[in-house]
Amino acid sequence: MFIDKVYKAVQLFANKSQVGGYISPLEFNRYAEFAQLDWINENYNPSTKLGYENNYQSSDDFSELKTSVPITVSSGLITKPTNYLHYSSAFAYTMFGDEARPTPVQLIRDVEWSERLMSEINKPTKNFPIIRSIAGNFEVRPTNINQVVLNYIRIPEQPWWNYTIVSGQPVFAATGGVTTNPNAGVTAGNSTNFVLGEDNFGDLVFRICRYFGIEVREQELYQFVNNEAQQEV
Amino acid sequence: MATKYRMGEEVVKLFNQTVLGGNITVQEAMLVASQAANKYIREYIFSNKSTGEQTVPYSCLKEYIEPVVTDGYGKFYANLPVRTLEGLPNNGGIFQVSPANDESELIAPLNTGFFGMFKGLDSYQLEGRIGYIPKLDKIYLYGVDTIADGYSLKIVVVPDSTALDAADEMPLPTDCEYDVIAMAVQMAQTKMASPPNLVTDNTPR
Repeated sequence: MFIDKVYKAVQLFANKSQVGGYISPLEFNRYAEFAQLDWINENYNPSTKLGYENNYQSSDDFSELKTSVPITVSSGLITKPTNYLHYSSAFAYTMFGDEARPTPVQLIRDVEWSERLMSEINKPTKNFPIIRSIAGNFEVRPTNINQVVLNYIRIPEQPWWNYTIVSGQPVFAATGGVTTNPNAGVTAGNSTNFVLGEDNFGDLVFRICRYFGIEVREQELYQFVNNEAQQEV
Repeated sequence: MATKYRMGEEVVKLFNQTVLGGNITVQEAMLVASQAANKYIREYIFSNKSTGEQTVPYSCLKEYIEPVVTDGYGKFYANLPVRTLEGLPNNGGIFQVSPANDESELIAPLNTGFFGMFKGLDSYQLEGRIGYIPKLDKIYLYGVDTIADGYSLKIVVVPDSTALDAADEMPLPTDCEYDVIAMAVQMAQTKMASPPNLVTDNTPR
């Protein structure tokens, strides 16, 4: 399991840098969650055009986090899902001539909102709807849009490295572990993998180590990841 | 024929391929394409006249059925469903008006100053026919005292393309689309050549 691979790598670096030598599973689980959220926030940055979905790899990395749900518009508002983290895109089905078609819903910032409502050129219509993000909701215009399909980045499950004790040492357990997995809908003794794929191995290890205050030089990390890759082959 | 949306989308696509950092919405692109189309159609009709072609190309026409209602002061009118090319002489943007159920009984187009010019003369009576005078967004009928319930007009117009919906066909011969798109791209060039408006966080708008 990927999370175990990351755990072992982090332990290896902890021993190498002699900052304590051992990282408890509890600490690892806490920092694994931070590292994953950290990765998401850093890579979700459409404004620079260097982040989210600027290439296939980015789209692929986020694919497990993407969620699409139709939400009914009520009084010009759609409620953000409870596991909503970041906006991706939105569309609504509207009539184009006599055919129902999906039309993009444009996310507008506050500075543009009133300008768009006032505009004679870019006025929001059923064919060109707009939304803006407000507390707990998205505000939709025009208000006679019935439903918006919201594509968003969800809050990922908390990565959880579960274990059993063998000879006084914690040993990874994909199932049947001794700690209680905090994720809803997951059996208590199970482990939960990172949502991010294995291509982010080095990145996650680096981030977790950073939280522990372990100094990892890029060269060391590069060599380690290379060694891991060769072992897998 | 192309829908208004398709023409706007084509303008957007052309710009997105050629102008780095440029940004124009489909609505903006539809507007410039429609304005270019209006200008093109007007000149197309005029240039046809110089070759002896007196009618308007069929692809430039759209027809609508509109009910006739009273204004409460004894006048009857129908709403114009769209604005027309108002720059054409003799209110030529309204190409033809007839009862909805009988296109051969054309209603005579009258100039705005018709009553001032002809009152008291025999021609004022229009030889018993019905006439109409357009005023802003309405067509007023003259020569009618009563109308039957459900009486409607078939109104054939050269529409103002900016007033059409995104899904409507542009009133344009297909072989003229290229010219109109070229005009629209030229018209929007100023905006596209400007640096993007970076409002708050480097996101161009």
